Amino acid sequence: MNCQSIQNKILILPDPRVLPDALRDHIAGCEVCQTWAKQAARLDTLLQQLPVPPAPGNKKATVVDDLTRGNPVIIRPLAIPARKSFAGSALKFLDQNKTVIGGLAAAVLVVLGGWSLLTPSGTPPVGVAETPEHPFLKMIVQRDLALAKAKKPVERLQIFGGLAEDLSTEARSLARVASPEELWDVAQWFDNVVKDGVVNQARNMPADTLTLSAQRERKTELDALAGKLSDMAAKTEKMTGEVPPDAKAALQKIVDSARAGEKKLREMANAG
Amino acid sequence: MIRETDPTLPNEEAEWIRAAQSGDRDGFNRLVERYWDRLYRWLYRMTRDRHTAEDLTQETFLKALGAVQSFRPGSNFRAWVFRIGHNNFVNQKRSERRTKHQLPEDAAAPDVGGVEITTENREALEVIHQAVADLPDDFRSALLLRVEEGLSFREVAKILGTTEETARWRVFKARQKLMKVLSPELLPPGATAGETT
Amino acid sequence: MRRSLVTLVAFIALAAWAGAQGPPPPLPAATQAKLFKNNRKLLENLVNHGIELAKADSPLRRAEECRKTAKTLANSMERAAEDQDPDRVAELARLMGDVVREGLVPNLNAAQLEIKPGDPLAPQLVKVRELATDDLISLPARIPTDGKVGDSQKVKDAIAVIQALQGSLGKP
Repeated sequence: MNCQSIQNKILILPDPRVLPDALRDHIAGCEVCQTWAKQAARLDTLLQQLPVPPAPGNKKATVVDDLTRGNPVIIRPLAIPARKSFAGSALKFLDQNKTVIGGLAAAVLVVLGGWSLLTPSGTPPVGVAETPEHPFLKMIVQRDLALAKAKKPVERLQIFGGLAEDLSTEARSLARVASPEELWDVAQWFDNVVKDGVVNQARNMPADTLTLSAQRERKTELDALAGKLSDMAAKTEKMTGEVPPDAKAALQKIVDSARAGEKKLREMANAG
Repeated sequence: MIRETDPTLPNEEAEWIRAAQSGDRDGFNRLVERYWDRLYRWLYRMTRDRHTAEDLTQETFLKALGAVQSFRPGSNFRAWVFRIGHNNFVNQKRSERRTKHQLPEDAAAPDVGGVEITTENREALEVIHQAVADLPDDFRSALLLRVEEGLSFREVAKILGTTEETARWRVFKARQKLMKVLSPELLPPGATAGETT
Repeated sequence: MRRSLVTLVAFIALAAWAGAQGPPPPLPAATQAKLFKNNRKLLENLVNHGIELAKADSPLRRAEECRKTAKTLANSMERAAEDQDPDRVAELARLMGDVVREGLVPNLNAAQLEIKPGDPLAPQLVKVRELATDDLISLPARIPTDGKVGDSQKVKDAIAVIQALQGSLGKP
């Protein structure tokens, strides 16, 4: 069991001041978990010492007094709205208006039946608020999985190229609705991907270690990716004129990163 | 506020309940005496308002008095009363806007018969009080029932209308949040961060 | 006339079917912004995990990085559970399952083939497997079993899938 697991187990105990043997052995030999256990124990001790102010009124005494004297216990109820019995009123209404309601119900069924034929299956029922899935999140996870499976630098290079494209597209989509800080984050991620991903992987494909045909393939790959970065820069630059001033800085950062990456790739492609 | 420390004598309480169910108000009276302060304390922590807590406590015991016939002898009376209290709290929250009152400095309860509070602990307690107040309601309620009231996870679950596993999880989450926020305050007095004791 | 009507109806039906096969319509901008806001920190971590994955030069290192990626998703799941958002919990659980199944397990297996008993890296392989198993075992404790999140069938199904992956990790 690792320390994180032990520490979680301490917090889930009925009382962290009473440690079972299974945890005691690890804690005895681990300073970090010892400190944690002591802090958890102290937390519970302090929680039990939290002061409570006295009640402002004398309601306990009133209730006890009334009970003792055998008086009816009368109170000023809290201003909580009384819950009316909806079921009773509803049944009465339905009974009084059977014919009209029956006709309306039939009409509703006809409409619903027609609607269900026209709408695609799998549509969530009307009125149920669901959190939709985040396509961009799924894309990023897919890119990570692709990187986990990739065996060669050229594969990783292509994946990073795709990731850079995902990020620049997302930035353009968010440019009018996200906050400047959020947009700046995306720009920073794009910059990291270009420098630490694209350019780094390109460096892992030095031309001098390759055969002639492999060198030609390398140049083709690098040129293609340089072209993609150029596209990303152009599209993003075009948008800087259409977004609020706050968003411009982040988009410009993407443009600059893409152009810098493009330049590096072309240099590497031509050096080979 | 006097903290109840003497253990419940099961036979004694069972007698009071039997008496209350057969119409003997004195029996119910004893149950009020036993559990009023505890319920008030928990409801104060939940509502963070003395007036509302007192009102809810009264409301709870009066509902309990009205429903005492339906209480199943042999089951946990404290959990039953706290359950009514919890329901009242939930209803009250739904219907009224909650106003928080800071604990005034002169309103701290004297520790009659309780644990002596050292100066170091007093400072930590002020911070902890706020951190507990900031916890989400369901974490706070579970934590305090477990730690302050000493109820088992099973009893906590019954009061909050959930499963034992969820009650355990809520207490875990509450402690986890407090540990994150409070770690400097939780070092033993005199120790500094990084020191091993 | 009748033939035109039949053709029209057939065309409409075909168009509807074709539309159903295409990509989902883009999300409204406000929804996109909200989703981004919720997932901002997670996205940053995932991008960084990707960069680290690319630097990992062996199956063992990639396995460890996949484990960290899965754990990042598990942490976000826990926060989504605290926020009482069962749809998000289920979504993150599915993504975590993908990472374990398609990233962690294959790399662990590849590492197992490379690293024989007695190899200096053998203890590290054992540790990665142990930590990964621990992460999966402790997952249910991080998600409530009732209430809005715990009662959600989507959440239950997604967690069950992840739990079933424990066996694929092999014995530490």
